[in-house]
Amino acid sequence: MGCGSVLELTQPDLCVIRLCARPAAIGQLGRSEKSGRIAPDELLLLAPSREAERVLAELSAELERLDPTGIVLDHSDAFVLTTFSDQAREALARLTPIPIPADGFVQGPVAGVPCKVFATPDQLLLLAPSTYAHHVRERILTACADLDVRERVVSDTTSLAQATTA
Amino acid sequence: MRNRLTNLATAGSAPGELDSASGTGCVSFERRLVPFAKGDTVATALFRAGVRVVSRSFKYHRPRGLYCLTGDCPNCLVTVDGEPGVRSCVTTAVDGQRIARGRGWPSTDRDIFSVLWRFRRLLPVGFYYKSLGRPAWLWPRVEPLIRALTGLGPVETGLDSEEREVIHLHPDLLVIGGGVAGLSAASTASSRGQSVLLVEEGRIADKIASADARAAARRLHAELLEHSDVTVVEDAAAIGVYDGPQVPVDARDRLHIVWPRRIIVATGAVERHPVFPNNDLPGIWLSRGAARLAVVHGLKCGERAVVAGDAGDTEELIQALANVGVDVVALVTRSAGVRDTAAQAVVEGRIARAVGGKRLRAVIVAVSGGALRRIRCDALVLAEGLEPRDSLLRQVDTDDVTGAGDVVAPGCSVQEAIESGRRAATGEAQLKAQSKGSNDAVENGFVCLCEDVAARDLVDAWDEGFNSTELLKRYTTACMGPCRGALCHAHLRAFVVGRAPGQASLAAATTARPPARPIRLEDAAAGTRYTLEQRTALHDRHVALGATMERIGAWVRPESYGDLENEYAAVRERVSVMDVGTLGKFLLAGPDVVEFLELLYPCRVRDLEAGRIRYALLLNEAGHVTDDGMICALGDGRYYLTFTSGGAEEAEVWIRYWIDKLGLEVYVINETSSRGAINLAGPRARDVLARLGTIGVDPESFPYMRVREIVVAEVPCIAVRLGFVGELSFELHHPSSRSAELWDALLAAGAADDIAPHGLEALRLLRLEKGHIIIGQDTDFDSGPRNLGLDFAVKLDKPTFVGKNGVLRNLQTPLRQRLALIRFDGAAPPEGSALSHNELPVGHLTSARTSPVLGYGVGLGWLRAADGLFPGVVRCSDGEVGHVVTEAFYDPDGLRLRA
Repeated sequence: MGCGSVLELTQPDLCVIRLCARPAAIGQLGRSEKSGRIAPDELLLLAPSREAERVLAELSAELERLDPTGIVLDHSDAFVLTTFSDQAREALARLTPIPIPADGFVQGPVAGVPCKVFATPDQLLLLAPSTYAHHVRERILTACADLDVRERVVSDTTSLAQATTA
Repeated sequence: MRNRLTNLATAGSAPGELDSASGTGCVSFERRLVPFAKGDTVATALFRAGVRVVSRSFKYHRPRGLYCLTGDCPNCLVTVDGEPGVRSCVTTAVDGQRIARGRGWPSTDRDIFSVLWRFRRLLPVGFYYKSLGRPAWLWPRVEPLIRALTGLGPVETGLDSEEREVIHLHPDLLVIGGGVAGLSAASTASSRGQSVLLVEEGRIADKIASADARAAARRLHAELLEHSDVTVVEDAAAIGVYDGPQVPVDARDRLHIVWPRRIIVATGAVERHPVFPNNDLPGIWLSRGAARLAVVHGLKCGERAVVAGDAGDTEELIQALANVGVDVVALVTRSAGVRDTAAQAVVEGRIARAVGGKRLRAVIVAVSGGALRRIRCDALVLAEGLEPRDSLLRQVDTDDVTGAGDVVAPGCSVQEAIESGRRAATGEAQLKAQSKGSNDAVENGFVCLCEDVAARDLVDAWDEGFNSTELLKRYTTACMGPCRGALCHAHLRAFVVGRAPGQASLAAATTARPPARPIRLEDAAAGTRYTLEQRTALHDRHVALGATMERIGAWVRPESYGDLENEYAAVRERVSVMDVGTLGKFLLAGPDVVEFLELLYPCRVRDLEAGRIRYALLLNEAGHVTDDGMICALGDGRYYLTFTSGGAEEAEVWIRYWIDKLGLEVYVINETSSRGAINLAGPRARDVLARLGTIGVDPESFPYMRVREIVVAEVPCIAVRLGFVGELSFELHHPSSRSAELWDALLAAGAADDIAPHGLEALRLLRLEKGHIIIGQDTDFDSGPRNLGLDFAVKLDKPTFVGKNGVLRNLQTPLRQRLALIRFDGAAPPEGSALSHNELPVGHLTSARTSPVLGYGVGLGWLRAADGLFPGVVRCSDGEVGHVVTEAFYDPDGLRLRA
């Protein structure tokens, strides 16, 4: 975490798992990972990268039981993940018209690109399409030039409350 | 009705100073330097320097001087630093500013076009519609002249444009206006736990003349700032109220786009603008302007002033004027029996007309009893009451937007304003005061100062049948100028009431439209001045190889790596790679996936065995081709679909739309970002894979038009055997995070075969030799499968599919045009060339290249049928002769791609 007057951007070491199944099946998943419901039949889960295989295997097993027609896969390559700390909400307000909740998940355009946002009171995690990684970064740096942006890559942290729900 | 001028003389600031004072310095004004005092606006700096004619009116070029000093009238509009139409009375003077007056020739002071006023009878409202429409050649010749004579001044070109950013805010409540009512509303809402954003176009309490109101505002402001979740933004003008509601606010640092749950408009009131002949002469002031000039800037509005208004409301005003040395020679009031006043005389009556040329010399008063009395003066200060400043409020009519304070009850007291704000915040009913515009003047007094609309113009328009406020507004353009009806809207309504008493609907308030305050176009475009850019994971590799990059939609792709011949030869003779990661890529599954694909595509899907692929068209309901791609059956009820690079996003929308519409259980995962794709193509492609230890790619186990999951250089790939370039090809779809790794491995393994990557330009030629179309380049919006020669991809014996009815309908009509392969005798003509047959135009060329391997030009072009027959030979616009052929130019039997 920074010192309060800067915008700190980090790339957390998290994997993104995408799961599609019948809504009822998704409702019965008893997972502790931080997740966002993209659609009634679609769920996005975050997990530490090192646990990706385990989580995938567990979810596959659960799907086999709940909805064998469902899909679950590691979809990390679809996104570039950026955690905003300190002046996170000020920064994101410059990039998106969507209201960011105090704690929760939203999706909508950020820097003109369809994105997803996981929010906690302290941090925001932005998931932007990886093909737009360069564009989104440029927009962040331009729109937030006065916020003293500091970037770093985090190799061994999951952040965002360990990517698990309390 | 009170004007809030109580205790003006003791209103806090010393003359020449403001709470928000700027420093001192000089502005550059029409080739001279004009010094300004601390706290000066551009307008007061010019006034201090003796400038009395600040602008010329829109139509008649009448001289106009400072009038309201509250930003509500058009009189003070000047050009500041090249930007025309700036409200100088609310623009702080800054050292070095370049100020110019917009209109007038040879100068604003001496404008020969003011002679137009003498011909006003010839120039009624709408005169150019009536007199310049015929003959037809007249208007185009006159229009430039009219445009040159009107407007707000020349726009300076070549200025550096400022790139502004935006911020989006989502408060529970947006309060527009930082006066007493607005602050009260914000404070009440905040104390009830709501998040509040308050925007004020000036500084809090800065424009409030009354000491009582100013003290109340400061107290409320201080209280408000103690609340949590409250943001106050000063120097921020609300531009309009849009659906949402959404309110753009032009603030100093950036455009604020506010998405509140509720809005309270507390924009206060504007002083009533009385209408009488010559009511626009320089030297005539609204009382707040004259008072502000005296109290805040220590300036006299004139030497001899006449004040018009109610005695009780003008007492403090007269004292304020006297304090700076203005000789108030008379108070003109409609009240009878007034004795106690600081003015030298009291005249019972009303202002009948003003007298003067370039400035006021006297006023004529219609005294009680009917006589006229002339009073010599150089300033007339009008204090005739207030009208709501409600253009924002009139932009919408929903419960989300309410008013508070003067805007709903003009002239309310401080306590009433506080109560009004509280009621607005709590949702209680408001006390409403009806505005009462004067309707007793029908002479040439100006109703609308912005558009030079006189009372006489309203009469003429009414007599022509424009018998409602909305019609009068549109015909006369009153209310449509920079002040957005602030001064004239009440008059318009009162005029209609006077003409059609009892018909309230005719006199309804007109709908106001943004912008409520002027905004620069570049500010309106804030936050949008960027171009989306999409890159594949191999972007840096292409740049490192020296590729020329090209934008295709949002994608940035390698056009060529510098040696086009070698790129082409590598594919045809050796081996090559191309980054095709831009293709749309989707994984579909779910209980109803087969049923859905059968409905989506015109080809068969149910019989597609696992491991097989099929070319497929995407049709719209009209049976026209919108995209194409491949269906790859992966097994286990999973299908991998590809679409063109430019069509992927629309294809996803289309897919999801039909899933939703049909109510099917189908899961869609867009893998365009998560999967890269590299096409390994060329006769030695298999050798490269072998060197990397890949197994299962021999012709028997992995033949043409099949899909396999293979491992290449330890990278798991969905490999698709296609033939877009006409050679043995393996399209390797892989996790995009491993694109660079795979690319490097392929180049290293292919080095022995002199591998070379190819870009888009080589691809265009390679595919054209095979006669393959590119959707969007070779197709048009109404191209059907039959026109394109792609009937094989449509199975009309299927029960139904999207576009089937359209295709059947098209089959009922003769084929009028089709896309044809054209072989030229010589080099290929330019793309887009017109094609003719027997000297008659028959079509155009959509794609053309000269084939190095074939030695002649090859192309695709649209041909029209003549008498039911399509030409076999065409001539291009450059004289080149082309022959229509029916099979691919290169390897027509497909032996090479099936290798």
